[in-house]
Amino acid sequence: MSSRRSQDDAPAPTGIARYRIETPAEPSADERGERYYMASSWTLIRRRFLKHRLAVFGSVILLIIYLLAAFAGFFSVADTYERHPDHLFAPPTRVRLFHDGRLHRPFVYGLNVGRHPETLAPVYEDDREQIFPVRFLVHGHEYRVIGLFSSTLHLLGVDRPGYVFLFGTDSLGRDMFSRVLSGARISLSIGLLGVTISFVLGCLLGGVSGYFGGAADMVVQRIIEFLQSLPTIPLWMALAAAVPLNWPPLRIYFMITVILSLVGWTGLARVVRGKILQLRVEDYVMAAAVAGAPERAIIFRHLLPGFMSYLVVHITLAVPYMILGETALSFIGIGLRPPVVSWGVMLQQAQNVRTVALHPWLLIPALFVVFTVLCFNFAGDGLRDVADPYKQ
Amino acid sequence: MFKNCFAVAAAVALALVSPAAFAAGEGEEPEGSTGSATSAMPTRFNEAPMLAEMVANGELPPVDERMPAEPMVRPVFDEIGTYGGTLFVYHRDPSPWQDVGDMTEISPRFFRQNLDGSFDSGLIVDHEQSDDYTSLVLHVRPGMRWSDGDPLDAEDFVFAFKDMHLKEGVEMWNFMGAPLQDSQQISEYSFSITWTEPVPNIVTDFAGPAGGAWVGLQPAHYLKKWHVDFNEDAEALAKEEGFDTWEDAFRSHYWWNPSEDLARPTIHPWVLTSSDTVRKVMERNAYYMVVDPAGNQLPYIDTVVGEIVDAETYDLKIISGESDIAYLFTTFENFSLYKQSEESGDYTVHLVPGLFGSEMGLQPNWNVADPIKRELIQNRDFRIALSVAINRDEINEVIYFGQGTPRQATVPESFSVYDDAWAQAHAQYDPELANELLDGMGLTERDRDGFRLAADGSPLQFTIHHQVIEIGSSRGELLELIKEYWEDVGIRIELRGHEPAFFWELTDTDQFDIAVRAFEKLIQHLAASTESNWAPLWDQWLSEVYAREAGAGSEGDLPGEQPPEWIEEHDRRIYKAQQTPEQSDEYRELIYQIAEAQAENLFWIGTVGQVPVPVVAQNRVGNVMTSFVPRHVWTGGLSEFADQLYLKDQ
Repeated sequence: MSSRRSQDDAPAPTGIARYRIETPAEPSADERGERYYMASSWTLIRRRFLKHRLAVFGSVILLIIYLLAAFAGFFSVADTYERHPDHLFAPPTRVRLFHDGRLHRPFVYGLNVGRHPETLAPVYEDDREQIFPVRFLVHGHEYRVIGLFSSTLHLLGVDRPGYVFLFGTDSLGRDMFSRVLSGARISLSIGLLGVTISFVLGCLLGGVSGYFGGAADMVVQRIIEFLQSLPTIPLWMALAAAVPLNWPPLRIYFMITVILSLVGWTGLARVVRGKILQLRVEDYVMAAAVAGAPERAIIFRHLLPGFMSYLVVHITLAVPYMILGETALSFIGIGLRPPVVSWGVMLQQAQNVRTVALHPWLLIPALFVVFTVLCFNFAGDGLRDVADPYKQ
Repeated sequence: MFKNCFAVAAAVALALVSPAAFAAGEGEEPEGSTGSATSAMPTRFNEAPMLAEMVANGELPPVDERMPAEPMVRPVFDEIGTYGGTLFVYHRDPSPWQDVGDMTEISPRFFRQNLDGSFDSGLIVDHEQSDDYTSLVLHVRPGMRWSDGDPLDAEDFVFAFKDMHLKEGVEMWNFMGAPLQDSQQISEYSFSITWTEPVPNIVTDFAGPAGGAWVGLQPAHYLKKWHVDFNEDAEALAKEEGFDTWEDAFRSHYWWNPSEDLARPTIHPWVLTSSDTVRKVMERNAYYMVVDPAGNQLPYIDTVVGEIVDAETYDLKIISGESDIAYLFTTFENFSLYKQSEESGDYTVHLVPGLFGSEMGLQPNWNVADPIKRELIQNRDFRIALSVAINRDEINEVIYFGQGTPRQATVPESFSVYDDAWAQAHAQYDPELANELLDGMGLTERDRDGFRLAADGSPLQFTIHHQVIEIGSSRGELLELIKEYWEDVGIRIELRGHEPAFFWELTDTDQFDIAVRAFEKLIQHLAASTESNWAPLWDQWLSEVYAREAGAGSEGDLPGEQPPEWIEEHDRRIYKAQQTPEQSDEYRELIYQIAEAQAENLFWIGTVGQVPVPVVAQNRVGNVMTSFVPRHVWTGGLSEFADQLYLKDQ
């Protein structure tokens, strides 16, 4: 955030660095190594971040997950909605390397499908006669690449009538692997947008309120109190009733997310205001003001970075809530629901004894959620540690 | 007297012809059930050892004094049981509607409908109906007692009808098909009821929850002191108990949730003795007026313990074998799960034949506001196209493991009037025909995504509105399939779930395209299977017309829209059928015409029907209920037979 702001104040070095160089109040410390103290704060941040192994690991995984989501069509082996009526509840297909004890290129066996005579559950058996080698860069179902152009190229696949269901199939015979990938698109985008909106609003209005005080503070605080006093359930019900009747669920969810984040910034704004009230009387801020720094610079360069670590933690904690909250409002008809494919929806579908006992592979989306949330937290933890580069 | 009652029952039974009913269970009925019970009528009754001990100690009067001279005889499903033991069940919430719960369905009824559709006497041994079907004189079985030992007589019935149903400020459920007018006590064991409209099928209603404790009778001797008509100080008493008005205090004592007042006497087989947020305990009712064919006073089981758990725990308790019997909240989608642990859990999964005409009925709105959609929906070809675009065999295979019956929305096979052609009508899977029909209507142009445009080139999209469905349930999957089938023939579909109250409001307007009765299924009971929500505006118009014809209704313009003549004729037939005795030829003729019209016009579009219901019972439980009385489309109806359950290991 501060880097973007700094462009307004060109041509100085970025962020806090310029502050440090310009401000005489900053102590000089020759005895602790010239290079360290001459480095810009961003260099320091990068160095410290790279030293934080978990944070680096988390960020890399997140990057990979986002790439998988962006190019879900390429990595998937079947269309998200394509049903395989003969392969309901198929367990994950094992990709094998050995056939009759001999090394073979990666392949899968054909599947014999039956129904258990007593339980009526589908039963699958490998047909060792049929061998379908896994092929790479094959052509399959058509998909759109980031909504721009169509393609039929896929990373891997097998010849029909063989199937490779890496994560098995669901109750209607749809490939779970492909669904997890395309579910990531919704789970990792719309909710994040909501978090971002309330984050920006919270910082901005909280900052204004705390820094300027007086009338501005008065107005913002009353708005916050008003918004916080809105009863949530009736608000949701009203929203649910107000949504046009022919909207698709995804658009409804998008709109609701935006509206809820427009009223959901108040908590953060209160904290930001409190932090600013506390920091604005600090000596270094006074000094900046005395030195004639513009208010914008004082807020965004001197005050915000002072509690950047809190903000980072706030955001990383909001992410898991957002994924798990996708379906939270479904009971009044405005949350995500099937046929929309998202991690939250898939998790909701898998939350029953039946799944745990008979089709545990339907819980794979849970692993992705846990993993993604962990990665966000690792990355956030690292960011928090380095957000204040001068703290030893 | 007894002879007399069976004469009536036999007459009703003869008139009610239902040949296809109850293949299951019929052959297994033990001796001594229904008719043959008359000759084998026991004179002295056996009782549970636990009660015999109390009698010996002088805590209870002897069994013959506690029972009517001629008690009701309950046919047992498999065999005469043995006394004793505790039945463990799991409840889903604190309400009485639970497996072997203290709900109204578990109560003995005015009349008892047998599995073959015939009627037997129950709490009422004889009745006379007036020729215009608006009044009924009922004769109560003499000698019955409430669970506190107080005699049960006509006063208790009149108290329920006159002093509760008809009393301002007392909330009661009617369940009788017409508003009450009056009820009078004639003698100790006789009373009359009159209605404002004819109720020709009231015997059937009184064989259901309307004829059980709560709707049909209340313990007058116990409740009177809170009722303002019987106790001048009722208001003061209410204040004393911490209520604002006598109605509130009264309600807390009579309301259907017995846990609010454990002292209230009942006629249920078990009496609720303790109830808190996690557990309910019911002990046997020493004055229960029902015996098995061998003269043993029911119930066999001493104690029923119900523990309140959540949905997943409920299923876990079943598969771990801790739940003795479960039938209300078992779902067919869990069939494989239950079946898999049958051996380790030492239980058996019984399948009760399903009676629903269609698990999910789709109703296109004939009065939808959009003129283009309205024209399409009113076009019969369009509805046929929608119907034949659905692959019902696949739905049956994928969702119901092949155990349901792919069929059009119509009455179930067990209904007294049935023609297989109704179930076959436009129920085949024929997407080519669907496409042909849609093309023939001028829906030939398609948009970029391959969906059909309206004849004038504007985009065309239908929204299926449904009540919010638990994510991951089979109903949701069924809707996903329907969306797919219809999109395959080029009709763009959106699914939209609503919170129930809003859904009901919406389906009374011209604002919805297609509605799903997600939890309401097409059922045999006529009134429900012919609801005209497929045309809300016409329905409003007609309802007001009927009201005015009956002398009620309001002044001014008629609401809604005037329907075409043939629709009005169809609707009048439904209205007429509700006022015609079920045994008459006229009724059969009306039903025939109504069902024909549905098969021809597809007001409802059906999917798969008659899906069986799993009843899971421990192997130690005997006489497990495995068939429905025809009028019960809800598994709660099985509770009526809970008193003949017994534990084999006692």
